[in-house]
Amino acid sequence: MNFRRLLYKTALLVACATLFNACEKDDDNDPKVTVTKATGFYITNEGAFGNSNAELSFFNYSENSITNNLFKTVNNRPLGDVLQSMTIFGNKGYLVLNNSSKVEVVKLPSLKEAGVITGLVAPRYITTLPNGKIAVSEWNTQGSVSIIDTNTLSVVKSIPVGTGPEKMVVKGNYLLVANGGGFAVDSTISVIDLTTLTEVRKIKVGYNPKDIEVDNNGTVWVLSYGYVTYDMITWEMIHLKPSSLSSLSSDLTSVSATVKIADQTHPQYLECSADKKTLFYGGGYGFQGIFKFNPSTKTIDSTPVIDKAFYGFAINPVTNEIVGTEAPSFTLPGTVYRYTSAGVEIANYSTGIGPNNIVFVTVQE
Amino acid sequence: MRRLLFFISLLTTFTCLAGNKIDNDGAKPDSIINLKEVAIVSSSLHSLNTSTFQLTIPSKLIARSGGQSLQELLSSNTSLTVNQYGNGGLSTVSIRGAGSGHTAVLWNGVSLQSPMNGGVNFSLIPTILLDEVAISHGGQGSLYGSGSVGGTIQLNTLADVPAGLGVSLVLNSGSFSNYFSGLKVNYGTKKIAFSIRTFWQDAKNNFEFTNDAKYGHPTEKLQNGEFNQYGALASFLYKITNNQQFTIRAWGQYHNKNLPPLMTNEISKQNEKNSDLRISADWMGNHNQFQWTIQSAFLSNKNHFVDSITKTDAINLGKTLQNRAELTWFLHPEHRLVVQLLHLMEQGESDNYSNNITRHRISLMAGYRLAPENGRYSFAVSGREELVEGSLKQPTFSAGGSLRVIKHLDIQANISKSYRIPTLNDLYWAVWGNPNLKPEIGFNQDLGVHFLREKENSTIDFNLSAFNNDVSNWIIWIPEGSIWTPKNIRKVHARGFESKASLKYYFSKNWNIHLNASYQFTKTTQSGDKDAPAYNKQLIYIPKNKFTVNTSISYKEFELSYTYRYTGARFTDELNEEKALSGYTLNDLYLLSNFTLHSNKLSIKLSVNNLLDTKYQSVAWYPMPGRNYLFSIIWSYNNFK
Repeated sequence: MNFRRLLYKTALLVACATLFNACEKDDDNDPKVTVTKATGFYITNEGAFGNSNAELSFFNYSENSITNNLFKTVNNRPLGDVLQSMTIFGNKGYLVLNNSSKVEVVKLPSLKEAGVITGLVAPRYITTLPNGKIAVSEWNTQGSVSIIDTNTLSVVKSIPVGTGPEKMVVKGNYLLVANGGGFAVDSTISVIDLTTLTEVRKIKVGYNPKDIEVDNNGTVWVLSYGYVTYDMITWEMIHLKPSSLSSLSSDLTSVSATVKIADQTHPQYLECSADKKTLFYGGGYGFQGIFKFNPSTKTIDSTPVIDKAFYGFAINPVTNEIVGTEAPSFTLPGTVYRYTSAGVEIANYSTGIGPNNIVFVTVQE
Repeated sequence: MRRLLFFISLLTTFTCLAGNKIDNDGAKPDSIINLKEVAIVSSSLHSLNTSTFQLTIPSKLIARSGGQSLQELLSSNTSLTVNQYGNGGLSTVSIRGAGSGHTAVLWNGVSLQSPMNGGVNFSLIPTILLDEVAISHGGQGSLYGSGSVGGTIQLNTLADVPAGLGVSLVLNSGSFSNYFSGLKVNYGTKKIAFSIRTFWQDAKNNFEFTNDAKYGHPTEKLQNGEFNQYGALASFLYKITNNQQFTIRAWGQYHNKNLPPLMTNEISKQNEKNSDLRISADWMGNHNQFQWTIQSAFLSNKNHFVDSITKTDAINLGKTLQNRAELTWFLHPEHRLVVQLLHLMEQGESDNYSNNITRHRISLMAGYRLAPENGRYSFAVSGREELVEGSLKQPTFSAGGSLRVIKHLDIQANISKSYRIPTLNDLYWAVWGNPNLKPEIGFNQDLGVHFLREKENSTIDFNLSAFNNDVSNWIIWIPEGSIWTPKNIRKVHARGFESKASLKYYFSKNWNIHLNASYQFTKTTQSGDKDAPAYNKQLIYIPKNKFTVNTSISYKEFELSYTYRYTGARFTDELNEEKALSGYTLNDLYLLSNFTLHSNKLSIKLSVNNLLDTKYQSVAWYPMPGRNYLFSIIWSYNNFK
């Protein structure tokens, strides 16, 4: 029993360390929306691989309290196996269950079950598209992005992309997909034309791009994890390629600038400040600290905002509060930490197992 | 293959060398000992076993179980905690609230625990290969070595078949396209005994179930659950003299199983194949006051796991060579001394190891038993010390005995220290393994009463035992920075009581009734650091309550049997905060009838399992089948003299 779990854990930890999704990637397409208040945030607890104990938690700012095990409490059934991410679209929440190969749809804010999207293989992240559609990145046998009609919850089209697609962002009429490498290696961004729903080109960036963001100038930034392998004799980590940040040219054909992060450390997540003038990177297994990056001067602050290793983190899109998660084990609950934008701890709360992802709920006032 | 041949030749050489020293003076065997006894207990260590709770599954039930696995046999005939990852899936056993690696499993004295992960999969042992199954509760590390922390399960395949020819054919057909066929052929003379057993099974395992884990609670058919297996076990026994015998057993099998998705999951593309080879040779004999066993065994398991979604393709190859020499010295009819020298060479090959691992373990055990012939009392004490790769591990001991307080009633008590040495995975998993791990230690005490009254037309057998077991240095894997590593940090306090009662009553020559009931209460909690979040919480998947009742009524050649089993709620999270996995009851029924014509016997059995179509889970979100049927025919022929 333990051995099987261990095998799964290895697969999980070595090859598929989870990624993170915090900012609403597409909100730069809709400048009319002015976010005025964040009422709280959801925490996706991935659970232990192969145990179907993923759960959803919610932190409420006005009550200053966290509620765990929300899905089971409301729907009286388990959510699934490895909750990778959550995306809010309209009055629905889309919960991506990686090892269950499905997306559970819930009504918001009640979290009552409202349907399920199947026909996917190892889904990772969702990005919302115009006309009531969403895009799901899937690791599949070959990496792909499936376009889903949210009215029928059926797959409209499945588009082959690179290996291990992760985060996506919409830029103009294009969907940009970070091909993170999955269980192997990749170093490209797929550019998908949203009219024809076909991949028009791949842009070569750094090794294993995991995350992608758009700054206040509309520039697309890609975080590449770098490339790591293990020595077959000593089993020491060999750092083959460094981690880096790259910006894409405005016509989305090439890389316009590259900033090396480090040869020997490998962050997984890229987030942006409320005004999108600052980017933050950090998080993932074994990466210490959350660091600031200024996209206009292309400089990295040498000292981290918070000098702590997080499993994942996010920035409050109104207050710039930093929220980091910690997954000390996959058998016991994790912890979520709140910090001021300057990195001073406000409070911490116990979550479900393996908290990996924060999704803020915002309202207009 | 070359390595395998090397092992076989090594094994034969070892046994032959030992065999050359035979002293053929033809002296009459000691009256206390006879070869029949030697063959059945297979290990003279058994005489030192003072467990307060022992259970032997009757050979008749094993023979009737036909195409079942040991998992099914144990689930329906004992109150052990048998956890199963879905129908036909990985199955583990916990005794007295200990972990799944805390049960020593011996096949004719040979340890079946994997050197790599310490486990035994009870779904992969077909009962057609076994003749005896004996379970003793409580840690007996000094007797049975590493692993016997919660208890010990002994499996025996008898080689000493009667003189003459015996043939037995088993055909099973069950729900969800489950087909099994098995054939046993025995042939014996005064000098030799030969037996071969073969089996083949194919199961679609596509049962229907309501999926309460999914949106809309759909009715589904289990997908990707099919499995098949085949194998053979041959034994050969040669009676060298009246008081010496040589036995060789060879067991090979192949098991191929697809692993179905969890109930929450849409698809699974996992498959697992296990290839096993187990060869054992022993020389047993007695002379004057001495009785000895010299045994050498080679075991190999190849596990091949493939998941085309996560692109996992892992092969793990574990091998062990076990050499055992045992000597019993009957100082006096009431006193005996037993010494055992055990050598194990364990090998592991895995992509998870940076290189192939070989580990040598040597242990020396000595024991003494005092047992007057009048049976009024008995006492046994034993100790074992094991050296792993030359370094001395913690010594273990056990002491126990029984005292007849009044007629039919014995009081039994034990105190023992048991251990489990870290597995190769724990020690040598690349980067993550921890080579500094110490053995897990169990310290247990128990107290029991045993009432037995046998009359001409009735038997009453009652057993009650209370136990306490403190396990420390329990190895668990915890994250440390960016890696996971095993550490000796968990402390567990397991305690409870177990009881069983059996009543046999013969109304007349034709009518009899047999009642069996058992109940056990197990509280097994994390101890040690009082501030740890899981302090004093029940371990996961260990039910506090287990209850079984079995009734069978026989009339001439007909038998009707009914079993009721209750397994209490089990926690699946360490903090016991989430809703526990519900307890469940299962009801099984079978009707059996025998027809005898000359030397032919035909036995027909119709079983209805899970009669009330109970929805249940043994392990969370692994679906289990509802009501299902099994039709079994056993034809046997013999011309035994």
